[in-house]
Amino acid sequence: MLAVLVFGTGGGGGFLGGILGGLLAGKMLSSATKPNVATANTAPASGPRTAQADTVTRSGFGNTGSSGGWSSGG
Amino acid sequence: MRRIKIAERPNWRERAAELGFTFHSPNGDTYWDESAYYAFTIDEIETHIEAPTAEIEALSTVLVDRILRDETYLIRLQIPEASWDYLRDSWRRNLPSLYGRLDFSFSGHGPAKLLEYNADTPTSLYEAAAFQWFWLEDRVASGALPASADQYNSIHEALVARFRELSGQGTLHLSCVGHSEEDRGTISYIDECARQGGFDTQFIAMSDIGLGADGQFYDLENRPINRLFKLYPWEWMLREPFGDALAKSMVGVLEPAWKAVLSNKGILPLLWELAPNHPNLLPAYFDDDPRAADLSRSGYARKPLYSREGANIELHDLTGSVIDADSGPYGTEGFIVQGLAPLPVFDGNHAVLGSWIVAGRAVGLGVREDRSPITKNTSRFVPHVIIG
Repeated sequence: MLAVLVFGTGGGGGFLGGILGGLLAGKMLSSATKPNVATANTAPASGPRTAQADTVTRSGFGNTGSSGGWSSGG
Repeated sequence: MRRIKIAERPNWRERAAELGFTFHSPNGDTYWDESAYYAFTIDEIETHIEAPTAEIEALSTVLVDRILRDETYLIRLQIPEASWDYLRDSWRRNLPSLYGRLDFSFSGHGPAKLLEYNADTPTSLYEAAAFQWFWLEDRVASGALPASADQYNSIHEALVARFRELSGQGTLHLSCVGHSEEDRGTISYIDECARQGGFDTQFIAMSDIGLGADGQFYDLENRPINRLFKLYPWEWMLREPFGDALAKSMVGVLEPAWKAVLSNKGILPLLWELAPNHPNLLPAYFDDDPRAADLSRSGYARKPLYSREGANIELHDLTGSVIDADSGPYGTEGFIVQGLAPLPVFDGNHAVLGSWIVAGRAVGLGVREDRSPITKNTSRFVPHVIIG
């Protein structure tokens, strides 16, 4: 069964999980055009502005990596 | 599996600049290394890398469910109790995963052995998905490799397809710590994949993410963050000041919160418990398990529950002597020990295979090598081909 994937507001929906995905895994060599990543997106986000600036606090994430200088990737 | 020396493309640095690959030589050191390549047979790829990857991914899925149902395991993995319900909820709702990478020790002979699962913040992604493919195309075009040379690599296509499955209305925010060139480069690549998959995207540094009085997260324009891709470990996020707000917010996160379980090296003994003597697993135990002493007879690796890029890992031989060790900030949460599976050495280089998973499927390979037995953040990325 292929379920609808929902990610984000509201959550829910199904997930073609690891077991089924594993069973379906097959060899598929790459031939499609690969991207140029030189043009990182800097466009403003779309969507309504809903928070008043004075009600938003920041710097609640990112302190571990910033203060320790540790790699976030692995 | 062979390591074959080859002349570098004379213009590869210009190619990298054209393509936006900015972190190929950090601090002037070689990271992208095309002075050699690894050649695999199709059987080595399909039988010894792709199939075990799919199988271990399936086992991992079973294990996540087991761990989240039993707080004994959650305590063992040192996952903060305040986050248990959040993790369980993400699993119960089947929140989707994007990617992960299994690292194997494999020499071309015998079964590949799983060293660890980078389930949350795997990097070397652009190099594996795109730049090594460009390298292959250039090498074939120049005649340096035969036209029949191929590569185990559908990573990019799989990422775009996954984003297409996930896309919908609204913006995907992408985030990492702002000062890391490698992380920013990886985010730029994810950005490209997400946009090809139909998302509008916006970057925001982790420290710039705002929390509103209404409990929702906001970007610097005070627009709501409803979907977030973060290249930032769950174990850090859950312990930071905004960590407690995640459960009440409406933000959907990639990777999902249940990946906090799989990114923990405590899964290695739990996988061994789930599938003892599995040919692709190494015996592993928590550091305080009496059975851990059994591994000293044949050599072992000691790894922190939380660690990245080889930090705080020690390799011991059968006499107990340290073969290699890397320093770092990890280890306060505890350690596991794992049977030793030394990386194969080619021309003095210790090579590790990174087997990529996208949407639960095995989709490609990246090879990294180092002069020392432990793979570190400075270990070089070497391209690969399938020949024969």
